[in-house]
Amino acid sequence: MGAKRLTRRDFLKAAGTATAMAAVGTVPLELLAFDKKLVRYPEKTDLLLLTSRPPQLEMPHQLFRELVTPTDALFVRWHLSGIPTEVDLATWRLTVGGNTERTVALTMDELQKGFEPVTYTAVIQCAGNGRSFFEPRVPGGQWGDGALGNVTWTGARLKDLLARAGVKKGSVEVAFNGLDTPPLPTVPDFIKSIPVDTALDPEVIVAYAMNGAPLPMLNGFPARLVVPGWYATYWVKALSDITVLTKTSDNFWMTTAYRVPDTPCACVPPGEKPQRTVPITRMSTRSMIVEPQAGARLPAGRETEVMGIAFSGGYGIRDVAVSVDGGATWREARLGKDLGRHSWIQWRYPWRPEQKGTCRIMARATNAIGESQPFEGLWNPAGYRWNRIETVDVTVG
Amino acid sequence: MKTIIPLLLALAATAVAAETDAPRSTIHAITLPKVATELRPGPGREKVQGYCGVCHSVDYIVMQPPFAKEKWGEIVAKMIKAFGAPIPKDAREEIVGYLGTAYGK
Repeated sequence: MGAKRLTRRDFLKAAGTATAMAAVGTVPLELLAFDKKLVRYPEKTDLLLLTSRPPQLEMPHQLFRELVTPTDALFVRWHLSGIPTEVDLATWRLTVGGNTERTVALTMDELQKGFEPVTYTAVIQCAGNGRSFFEPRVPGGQWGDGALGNVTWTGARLKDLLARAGVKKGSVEVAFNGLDTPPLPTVPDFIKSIPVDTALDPEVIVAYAMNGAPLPMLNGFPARLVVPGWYATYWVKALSDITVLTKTSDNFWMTTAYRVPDTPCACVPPGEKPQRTVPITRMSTRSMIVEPQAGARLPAGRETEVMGIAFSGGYGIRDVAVSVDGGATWREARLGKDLGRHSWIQWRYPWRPEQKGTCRIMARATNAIGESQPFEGLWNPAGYRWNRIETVDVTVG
Repeated sequence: MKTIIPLLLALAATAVAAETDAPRSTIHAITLPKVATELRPGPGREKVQGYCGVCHSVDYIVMQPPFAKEKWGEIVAKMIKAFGAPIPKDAREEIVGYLGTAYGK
Protein backbone atom coordinates (compact mmCIF):
# COMPACT_ATOMS: atom_id res chain seq x y z
CA MET A 1 0.00 0.00 0.00
CA GLY A 2 0.99 3.60 -0.38
CA ALA A 3 3.46 3.08 -3.21
CA LYS A 4 1.47 4.73 -5.97
CA ARG A 5 2.83 8.13 -6.88
CA LEU A 6 0.53 10.88 -7.90
CA THR A 7 1.56 14.01 -9.68
CA ARG A 8 0.28 17.53 -9.31
CA ARG A 9 -0.97 17.24 -12.87
CA ASP A 10 -3.19 14.30 -11.91
CA PHE A 11 -4.74 16.52 -9.28
CA LEU A 12 -5.29 19.45 -11.55
CA LYS A 13 -6.94 17.13 -14.01
CA ALA A 14 -9.25 15.79 -11.32
CA ALA A 15 -10.04 19.21 -9.95
CA GLY A 16 -11.08 20.29 -13.43
CA THR A 17 -11.80 23.87 -14.23
CA ALA A 18 -12.64 24.74 -10.66
CA THR A 19 -9.17 25.63 -9.49
CA ALA A 20 -8.65 28.13 -12.26
CA MET A 21 -11.52 30.29 -11.07
CA ALA A 22 -10.53 30.97 -7.52
CA ALA A 23 -7.62 32.32 -5.61
CA VAL A 24 -7.45 31.96 -1.87
CA GLY A 25 -4.07 32.56 -0.31
CA THR A 26 -2.50 30.55 2.44
CA VAL A 27 -3.03 32.45 5.67
CA PRO A 28 -1.96 31.06 9.04
CA LEU A 29 -5.07 29.68 10.72
CA GLU A 30 -4.39 31.41 14.01
CA LEU A 31 -4.80 34.77 12.29
CA LEU A 32 -8.22 33.84 10.99
CA ALA A 33 -10.02 32.54 14.04
CA PHE A 34 -11.44 34.80 16.70
CA ASP A 35 -10.98 33.65 20.25
CA LYS A 36 -13.58 30.89 20.71
CA LYS A 37 -14.33 29.90 24.29
CA LEU A 38 -15.21 26.42 25.48
CA VAL A 39 -18.73 26.20 26.90
CA ARG A 40 -20.83 23.35 28.20
CA TYR A 41 -24.47 23.07 27.21
CA PRO A 42 -27.00 20.47 28.43
CA GLU A 43 -26.36 16.97 27.03
CA LYS A 44 -23.19 18.23 25.31
CA THR A 45 -19.51 18.10 26.16
CA ASP A 46 -17.25 21.18 26.11
CA LEU A 47 -17.69 22.81 22.70
CA LEU A 48 -16.46 26.05 21.17
CA LEU A 49 -18.92 28.93 21.42
CA LEU A 50 -19.80 30.84 18.28
CA THR A 51 -23.12 32.24 19.50
CA SER A 52 -25.43 31.63 22.44
CA ARG A 53 -28.88 32.82 21.28
CA PRO A 54 -29.60 30.76 19.31
CA PRO A 55 -26.77 28.38 20.18
CA GLN A 56 -24.06 27.64 17.64
CA LEU A 57 -21.35 25.38 19.03
CA GLU A 58 -18.34 23.92 17.24
CA MET A 59 -16.51 20.65 17.89
CA PRO A 60 -12.87 21.04 18.99
CA HIS A 61 -10.24 19.57 16.66
CA GLN A 62 -9.04 16.68 18.84
CA LEU A 63 -12.47 15.02 18.70
CA PHE A 64 -11.93 14.30 15.00
CA ARG A 65 -9.79 11.37 16.13
CA GLU A 66 -13.00 9.39 16.67
CA LEU A 67 -14.31 7.30 13.77
CA VAL A 68 -17.86 7.89 15.00
CA THR A 69 -18.45 11.26 16.64
CA PRO A 70 -19.66 10.92 20.24
CA THR A 71 -23.23 12.19 20.55
CA ASP A 72 -22.31 14.83 23.10
CA ALA A 73 -19.53 16.14 20.85
CA LEU A 74 -21.60 16.82 17.72
CA PHE A 75 -21.78 20.50 16.71
CA VAL A 76 -24.91 22.58 17.35
CA ARG A 77 -26.42 25.02 14.90
CA TRP A 78 -29.83 26.73 15.13
CA HIS A 79 -31.14 29.62 13.04
CA LEU A 80 -33.95 31.12 15.13
CA SER A 81 -33.71 32.14 18.76
CA GLY A 82 -36.96 30.40 19.68
CA ILE A 83 -35.44 26.95 20.03
CA PRO A 84 -37.29 24.08 21.71
CA THR A 85 -36.07 23.38 25.25
CA GLU A 86 -38.94 21.14 26.32
CA VAL A 87 -40.74 18.44 24.33
CA ASP A 88 -43.53 16.27 25.71
CA LEU A 89 -43.71 13.03 23.73
CA ALA A 90 -47.28 12.58 24.98
CA THR A 91 -48.34 15.51 22.83
CA TRP A 92 -45.61 15.69 20.13
CA ARG A 93 -46.77 14.52 16.72
CA LEU A 94 -45.06 14.30 13.35
CA THR A 95 -47.66 15.47 10.84
CA VAL A 96 -47.40 14.37 7.21
CA GLY A 97 -49.75 16.17 4.84
CA GLY A 98 -50.09 18.73 2.09
CA ASN A 99 -50.67 17.30 -1.39
CA THR A 100 -51.49 13.86 0.03
CA GLU A 101 -54.50 11.50 0.13
CA ARG A 102 -54.74 12.03 3.89
CA THR A 103 -52.97 13.80 6.71
CA VAL A 104 -51.34 11.53 9.26
CA ALA A 105 -50.13 12.52 12.72
CA LEU A 106 -47.59 10.04 14.06
CA THR A 107 -46.57 9.56 17.68
CA MET A 108 -42.97 8.67 18.51
CA ASP A 109 -44.15 5.15 19.33
CA GLU A 110 -45.73 4.82 15.87
CA LEU A 111 -42.64 6.27 14.20
CA GLN A 112 -40.41 3.74 15.94
CA LYS A 113 -42.64 0.65 15.72
CA GLY A 114 -44.82 1.30 12.69
CA PHE A 115 -42.01 1.56 10.15
CA GLU A 116 -38.96 -0.54 9.37
CA PRO A 117 -35.97 1.03 11.16
CA VAL A 118 -32.93 1.90 9.07
CA THR A 119 -29.44 2.43 10.51
CA TYR A 120 -26.32 3.80 8.84
CA THR A 121 -23.38 6.06 9.57
CA ALA A 122 -23.33 9.38 7.74
CA VAL A 123 -21.35 12.61 7.81
CA ILE A 124 -23.30 15.65 8.94
CA GLN A 125 -21.76 18.94 7.90
CA CYS A 126 -23.01 22.50 8.03
CA ALA A 127 -22.95 24.22 4.62
CA GLY A 128 -20.88 26.99 6.18
CA ASN A 129 -18.28 24.72 7.76
CA GLY A 130 -14.87 26.32 7.11
CA ARG A 131 -16.36 29.76 6.39
CA SER A 132 -13.65 31.45 8.48
CA PHE A 133 -11.03 30.24 5.96
CA PHE A 134 -12.53 32.25 3.08
CA GLU A 135 -10.50 35.12 1.66
CA PRO A 136 -11.86 37.72 1.23
CA ARG A 137 -13.74 37.02 4.44
CA VAL A 138 -17.51 36.69 4.31
CA PRO A 139 -20.14 37.45 6.98
CA GLY A 140 -21.94 34.60 8.72
CA GLY A 141 -21.17 31.94 11.31
CA GLN A 142 -17.37 31.95 11.51
CA TRP A 143 -16.91 28.18 11.67
CA GLY A 144 -13.51 26.55 11.62
CA ASP A 145 -13.63 22.85 10.76
CA GLY A 146 -15.87 21.76 13.61
CA ALA A 147 -19.37 22.08 12.13
CA LEU A 148 -18.85 18.50 11.06
CA GLY A 149 -19.38 15.04 12.53
CA ASN A 150 -19.91 11.38 11.66
CA VAL A 151 -22.90 9.83 13.35
CA THR A 152 -24.75 6.51 13.26
CA TRP A 153 -28.36 7.43 12.59
CA THR A 154 -31.45 5.29 13.11
CA GLY A 155 -34.87 6.21 11.82
CA ALA A 156 -37.80 5.53 9.54
CA ARG A 157 -37.59 5.96 5.79
CA LEU A 158 -39.15 9.23 4.68
CA LYS A 159 -40.67 7.44 1.67
CA ASP A 160 -42.50 5.05 4.01
CA LEU A 161 -43.95 7.97 5.94
CA LEU A 162 -44.99 9.64 2.70
CA ALA A 163 -46.59 6.39 1.50
CA ARG A 164 -48.68 6.32 4.69
CA ALA A 165 -50.05 9.75 3.76
CA GLY A 166 -50.24 8.93 0.02
CA VAL A 167 -48.38 11.41 -2.18
CA LYS A 168 -50.71 12.75 -4.87
CA LYS A 169 -49.89 13.59 -8.47
CA GLY A 170 -48.42 16.99 -9.18
CA SER A 171 -46.10 16.93 -6.17
CA VAL A 172 -42.86 18.82 -6.70
CA GLU A 173 -41.18 19.30 -3.32
CA VAL A 174 -41.48 18.13 0.25
CA ALA A 175 -41.08 20.76 2.97
CA PHE A 176 -39.88 20.25 6.55
CA ASN A 177 -40.64 22.41 9.56
CA GLY A 178 -39.44 22.00 13.13
CA LEU A 179 -40.44 23.22 16.58
CA ASP A 180 -38.15 26.26 16.49
CA THR A 181 -39.90 29.61 16.15
CA PRO A 182 -38.88 33.06 14.88
CA PRO A 183 -38.27 35.81 17.44
CA LEU A 184 -40.44 38.27 15.48
CA PRO A 185 -43.35 37.73 13.07
CA THR A 186 -41.24 39.34 10.33
CA VAL A 187 -38.48 36.73 10.62
CA PRO A 188 -39.13 33.86 8.16
CA ASP A 189 -39.73 30.52 9.87
CA PHE A 190 -36.96 28.00 9.18
CA ILE A 191 -38.57 25.65 6.66
CA LYS A 192 -36.49 23.67 4.16
CA SER A 193 -37.63 21.63 1.20
CA ILE A 194 -36.16 18.97 -1.06
CA PRO A 195 -37.30 17.78 -4.51
CA VAL A 196 -39.87 14.99 -4.34
CA ASP A 197 -37.45 12.56 -6.07
CA THR A 198 -34.92 13.13 -3.31
CA ALA A 199 -37.64 12.70 -0.69
CA LEU A 200 -38.48 9.28 -2.13
CA ASP A 201 -34.84 8.13 -2.02
CA PRO A 202 -34.90 5.12 0.35
CA GLU A 203 -31.80 6.43 2.18
CA VAL A 204 -33.50 9.60 3.39
CA ILE A 205 -34.78 9.00 6.91
CA VAL A 206 -36.48 10.69 9.82
CA ALA A 207 -33.97 9.85 12.54
CA TYR A 208 -35.00 9.35 16.15
CA ALA A 209 -31.68 7.97 17.38
CA MET A 210 -28.05 9.07 17.22
CA ASN A 211 -25.46 6.42 18.00
CA GLY A 212 -28.20 4.22 19.45
CA ALA A 213 -29.70 6.76 21.85
CA PRO A 214 -32.34 9.52 21.61
CA LEU A 215 -31.17 12.78 20.07
CA PRO A 216 -29.97 15.47 22.48
CA MET A 217 -32.38 18.41 22.58
CA LEU A 218 -29.82 20.67 20.89
CA ASN A 219 -29.30 18.19 18.04
CA GLY A 220 -33.01 17.99 17.23
CA PHE A 221 -34.89 15.90 19.79
CA PRO A 222 -37.15 14.05 19.23
CA ALA A 223 -36.51 13.52 15.49
CA ARG A 224 -34.70 15.14 12.60
CA LEU A 225 -34.46 14.67 8.87
CA VAL A 226 -31.29 12.98 7.56
CA VAL A 227 -30.45 13.50 3.89
CA PRO A 228 -27.15 11.61 3.60
CA GLY A 229 -24.65 13.22 1.25
CA TRP A 230 -26.38 16.62 1.41
CA TYR A 231 -25.42 19.54 3.62
CA ALA A 232 -27.08 19.66 7.02
CA THR A 233 -29.20 22.71 6.22
CA TYR A 234 -31.82 20.21 5.03
CA TRP A 235 -31.55 17.98 8.11
CA VAL A 236 -34.35 19.86 9.90
CA LYS A 237 -34.25 19.39 13.67
CA ALA A 238 -37.10 18.86 16.16
CA LEU A 239 -39.19 17.92 13.16
CA SER A 240 -42.94 18.52 13.47
CA ASP A 241 -44.38 18.96 9.97
CA ILE A 242 -43.74 17.31 6.62
CA THR A 243 -45.68 18.99 3.83
CA VAL A 244 -45.89 17.82 0.23
CA LEU A 245 -45.88 20.83 -2.12
CA THR A 246 -47.24 21.26 -5.66
CA LYS A 247 -44.78 24.07 -6.41
CA THR A 248 -41.30 25.00 -5.30
CA SER A 249 -41.06 26.66 -1.91
CA ASP A 250 -40.98 30.46 -1.76
CA ASN A 251 -39.54 30.45 1.78
CA PHE A 252 -36.59 32.77 2.44
CA TRP A 253 -34.38 29.85 3.54
CA MET A 254 -34.78 28.30 0.08
CA THR A 255 -35.04 31.32 -2.21
CA THR A 256 -32.43 33.62 -0.65
CA ALA A 257 -30.33 31.72 1.89
CA TYR A 258 -28.33 28.55 1.36
CA ARG A 259 -27.75 29.15 -2.32
CA VAL A 260 -24.56 28.76 -4.33
CA PRO A 261 -23.46 30.15 -7.71
CA ASP A 262 -24.96 28.23 -10.62
CA THR A 263 -21.53 27.45 -12.10
CA PRO A 264 -19.77 24.05 -12.44
CA CYS A 265 -17.59 24.77 -9.38
CA ALA A 266 -20.39 26.49 -7.41
CA CYS A 267 -17.91 29.36 -7.15
CA VAL A 268 -17.19 32.81 -8.52
CA PRO A 269 -13.97 34.84 -8.64
CA PRO A 270 -13.31 36.08 -5.08
CA GLY A 271 -15.39 39.12 -4.22
CA GLU A 272 -17.70 38.87 -7.22
CA LYS A 273 -21.46 38.45 -7.26
CA PRO A 274 -22.90 35.37 -8.99
CA GLN A 275 -25.28 35.97 -11.90
CA ARG A 276 -27.49 33.03 -10.99
CA THR A 277 -27.73 30.88 -7.90
CA VAL A 278 -29.25 27.49 -7.04
CA PRO A 279 -30.02 25.82 -3.70
CA ILE A 280 -26.98 24.11 -2.19
CA THR A 281 -27.34 20.31 -2.22
CA ARG A 282 -24.64 17.62 -2.12
CA MET A 283 -21.42 17.96 -0.15
CA SER A 284 -18.09 18.46 -1.86
CA THR A 285 -15.24 16.01 -1.28
CA ARG A 286 -13.01 16.84 1.65
CA SER A 287 -10.14 15.50 3.72
CA MET A 288 -8.82 16.79 7.02
CA ILE A 289 -5.50 16.29 8.74
CA VAL A 290 -6.24 15.34 12.35
CA GLU A 291 -2.70 14.44 13.50
CA PRO A 292 -0.21 16.01 13.79
CA GLN A 293 -1.77 19.36 14.57
CA ALA A 294 -0.49 22.64 13.17
CA GLY A 295 2.57 23.87 15.02
CA ALA A 296 3.46 20.44 16.41
CA ARG A 297 7.14 19.69 17.05
CA LEU A 298 8.24 16.26 15.81
CA PRO A 299 11.61 14.63 16.56
CA ALA A 300 13.77 14.06 13.47
CA GLY A 301 14.51 10.46 12.56
CA ARG A 302 11.65 8.97 14.53
CA GLU A 303 8.68 7.18 12.97
CA THR A 304 5.42 9.10 13.29
CA GLU A 305 2.04 8.95 11.64
CA VAL A 306 -0.04 11.45 9.74
CA MET A 307 -3.69 10.66 10.35
CA GLY A 308 -6.90 12.16 9.08
CA ILE A 309 -10.39 11.69 7.75
CA ALA A 310 -11.96 11.97 4.30
CA PHE A 311 -15.51 12.00 2.99
CA SER A 312 -17.50 12.88 -0.11
CA GLY A 313 -21.10 13.64 -0.88
CA GLY A 314 -22.21 10.02 -0.83
CA TYR A 315 -19.81 8.36 -3.26
CA GLY A 316 -17.18 6.96 -0.93
CA ILE A 317 -13.48 7.76 -0.98
CA ARG A 318 -11.30 6.22 -3.68
CA ASP A 319 -7.96 7.48 -2.38
CA VAL A 320 -6.26 10.03 -0.20
CA ALA A 321 -2.89 11.41 -1.28
CA VAL A 322 -0.52 12.86 1.30
CA SER A 323 2.44 15.18 0.81
CA VAL A 324 4.98 15.92 3.53
CA ASP A 325 7.02 18.33 1.39
CA GLY A 326 4.53 21.08 0.68
CA GLY A 327 3.03 19.44 -2.39
CA ALA A 328 6.21 18.51 -4.33
CA THR A 329 5.63 14.75 -4.02
CA TRP A 330 2.54 12.79 -3.09
CA ARG A 331 1.88 9.25 -1.88
CA GLU A 332 -1.25 7.34 -1.15
CA ALA A 333 -2.41 6.99 2.44
CA ARG A 334 -3.74 3.72 3.85
CA LEU A 335 -7.52 3.83 4.25
CA GLY A 336 -9.13 2.51 7.43
CA LYS A 337 -12.36 0.67 8.14
CA ASP A 338 -15.12 1.40 5.63
CA LEU A 339 -18.43 2.23 7.32
CA GLY A 340 -20.19 2.88 4.03
CA ARG A 341 -20.23 5.57 1.38
CA HIS A 342 -21.92 8.19 3.59
CA SER A 343 -19.45 7.81 6.46
CA TRP A 344 -16.06 9.44 6.64
CA ILE A 345 -13.12 7.12 6.41
CA GLN A 346 -9.96 7.40 8.46
CA TRP A 347 -6.59 7.39 6.69
CA ARG A 348 -3.07 6.91 7.95
CA TYR A 349 0.33 7.69 6.50
CA PRO A 350 3.48 6.46 8.27
CA TRP A 351 6.22 9.05 8.11
CA ARG A 352 9.78 9.36 9.40
CA PRO A 353 10.79 13.01 9.13
CA GLU A 354 14.56 13.24 8.57
CA GLN A 355 15.34 16.85 7.77
CA LYS A 356 15.13 19.45 10.50
CA GLY A 357 13.04 22.52 9.85
CA THR A 358 9.49 23.38 8.89
CA CYS A 359 7.52 20.73 7.04
CA ARG A 360 4.26 21.33 5.26
CA ILE A 361 1.85 18.38 5.32
CA MET A 362 -0.97 18.28 2.78
CA ALA A 363 -3.80 15.82 2.14
CA ARG A 364 -6.15 15.47 -0.76
CA ALA A 365 -9.05 13.07 -1.16
CA THR A 366 -10.72 11.84 -4.35
CA ASN A 367 -14.12 10.18 -4.34
CA ALA A 368 -15.35 7.22 -6.38
CA ILE A 369 -16.58 9.45 -9.23
CA GLY A 370 -13.33 11.41 -9.43
CA GLU A 371 -14.38 14.52 -7.50
CA SER A 372 -11.47 15.91 -5.55
CA GLN A 373 -10.19 18.98 -3.75
CA PRO A 374 -8.74 22.18 -5.17
CA PHE A 375 -5.35 23.72 -4.33
CA GLU A 376 -7.03 27.10 -4.07
CA GLY A 377 -10.25 27.71 -2.16
CA LEU A 378 -13.41 27.94 -4.25
CA TRP A 379 -15.02 31.25 -3.33
CA ASN A 380 -18.71 32.09 -3.06
CA PRO A 381 -20.32 35.07 -1.28
CA ALA A 382 -22.05 33.05 1.45
CA GLY A 383 -19.00 30.99 2.40
CA TYR A 384 -20.32 27.50 1.64
CA ARG A 385 -18.71 24.20 0.53
CA TRP A 386 -15.19 24.89 1.83
CA ASN A 387 -12.94 22.03 0.69
CA ARG A 388 -9.49 23.37 -0.17
CA ILE A 389 -6.61 20.92 0.25
CA GLU A 390 -5.49 21.27 3.85
CA THR A 391 -2.02 22.27 4.83
CA VAL A 392 -0.54 21.72 8.26
CA ASP A 393 2.89 23.13 9.09
CA VAL A 394 4.97 21.27 11.69
CA THR A 395 8.51 21.69 12.99
CA VAL A 396 10.96 18.80 12.74
CA GLY A 397 13.89 18.77 15.10
CA MET B 1 -17.39 39.16 30.84
CA LYS B 2 -18.60 35.72 29.92
CA THR B 3 -20.35 33.91 32.72
CA ILE B 4 -21.70 30.44 32.34
CA ILE B 5 -23.96 28.65 34.78
CA PRO B 6 -23.58 24.93 34.19
CA LEU B 7 -26.77 23.10 35.05
CA LEU B 8 -25.65 19.67 33.98
CA LEU B 9 -25.20 18.25 37.46
CA ALA B 10 -28.67 19.34 38.48
CA LEU B 11 -30.11 17.90 35.27
CA ALA B 12 -28.30 14.60 35.73
CA ALA B 13 -29.64 14.32 39.26
CA THR B 14 -33.18 14.99 38.02
CA ALA B 15 -32.83 12.36 35.30
CA VAL B 16 -31.74 9.71 37.79
CA ALA B 17 -34.65 10.57 40.05
CA ALA B 18 -37.09 10.48 37.13
CA GLU B 19 -36.01 6.99 36.13
CA THR B 20 -36.88 5.57 39.50
CA ASP B 21 -40.30 7.23 39.64
CA ALA B 22 -43.22 5.53 37.94
CA PRO B 23 -44.85 6.34 35.60
CA ARG B 24 -41.90 7.73 33.70
CA SER B 25 -42.28 11.30 32.47
CA THR B 26 -42.84 11.80 28.76
CA ILE B 27 -41.26 15.24 29.02
CA HIS B 28 -37.71 15.91 27.94
CA ALA B 29 -36.39 19.33 28.92
CA ILE B 30 -33.15 21.26 29.17
CA THR B 31 -32.21 24.58 30.70
CA LEU B 32 -29.92 26.71 28.58
CA PRO B 33 -26.90 28.22 30.32
CA LYS B 34 -26.60 31.98 30.54
CA VAL B 35 -23.75 33.20 28.36
CA ALA B 36 -23.02 36.90 28.47
CA THR B 37 -21.00 38.58 25.73
CA GLU B 38 -19.85 42.17 26.10
CA LEU B 39 -19.54 44.49 23.17
CA ARG B 40 -16.57 46.84 22.89
CA PRO B 41 -17.23 50.34 24.30
CA GLY B 42 -18.14 53.15 21.95
CA PRO B 43 -20.96 55.50 20.99
CA GLY B 44 -23.96 53.50 19.78
CA ARG B 45 -23.20 50.37 21.80
CA GLU B 46 -26.50 50.54 23.71
CA LYS B 47 -28.51 50.87 20.50
CA VAL B 48 -26.71 47.84 19.02
CA GLN B 49 -27.36 45.80 22.17
CA GLY B 50 -30.99 46.88 22.21
CA TYR B 51 -31.96 46.53 18.56
CA CYS B 52 -29.74 43.66 17.39
CA GLY B 53 -30.31 41.83 20.68
CA VAL B 54 -34.05 41.56 19.99
CA CYS B 55 -33.42 38.56 17.74
CA HIS B 56 -29.93 37.28 18.53
CA SER B 57 -27.11 37.46 21.04
CA VAL B 58 -24.44 40.02 20.24
CA ASP B 59 -21.77 37.33 19.90
CA TYR B 60 -23.09 37.22 16.31
CA ILE B 61 -21.29 40.56 15.95
CA VAL B 62 -18.22 39.70 18.00
CA MET B 63 -17.42 36.59 15.92
CA GLN B 64 -17.30 38.45 12.61
CA PRO B 65 -13.98 39.38 11.06
CA PRO B 66 -13.27 43.13 10.86
CA PHE B 67 -15.48 44.53 8.11
CA ALA B 68 -15.41 48.03 6.62
CA LYS B 69 -18.29 50.31 7.64
CA GLU B 70 -19.78 49.88 4.17
CA LYS B 71 -19.96 46.10 4.66
CA TRP B 72 -21.55 46.53 8.08
CA GLY B 73 -24.10 48.81 6.39
CA GLU B 74 -24.98 45.97 4.00
CA ILE B 75 -25.33 43.54 6.89
CA VAL B 76 -27.65 45.88 8.83
CA ALA B 77 -29.67 46.51 5.64
CA LYS B 78 -30.09 42.73 5.23
CA MET B 79 -31.29 42.40 8.82
CA ILE B 80 -33.95 45.04 8.12
CA LYS B 81 -34.98 43.80 4.67
CA ALA B 82 -34.84 40.02 5.12
CA PHE B 83 -35.74 39.70 8.80
CA GLY B 84 -37.69 42.88 9.52
CA ALA B 85 -35.31 44.13 12.20
CA PRO B 86 -37.29 46.96 13.86
CA ILE B 87 -34.51 49.55 13.64
CA PRO B 88 -35.84 53.10 13.21
CA LYS B 89 -34.30 55.12 10.39
CA ASP B 90 -32.64 57.61 12.73
CA ALA B 91 -30.85 54.82 14.64
CA ARG B 92 -29.36 53.10 11.57
CA GLU B 93 -26.46 55.46 11.09
CA GLU B 94 -25.43 55.25 14.73
CA ILE B 95 -25.60 51.44 14.65
CA VAL B 96 -23.61 51.13 11.44
CA GLY B 97 -21.16 53.73 12.72
CA TYR B 98 -20.59 51.80 15.93
CA LEU B 99 -20.08 48.49 14.09
CA GLY B 100 -17.74 50.07 11.56
CA THR B 101 -15.65 51.60 14.33
CA ALA B 102 -15.70 48.98 17.10
CA TYR B 103 -15.65 45.98 14.72
CA GLY B 104 -14.29 47.61 11.60
CA LYS B 105 -11.09 47.35 9.68
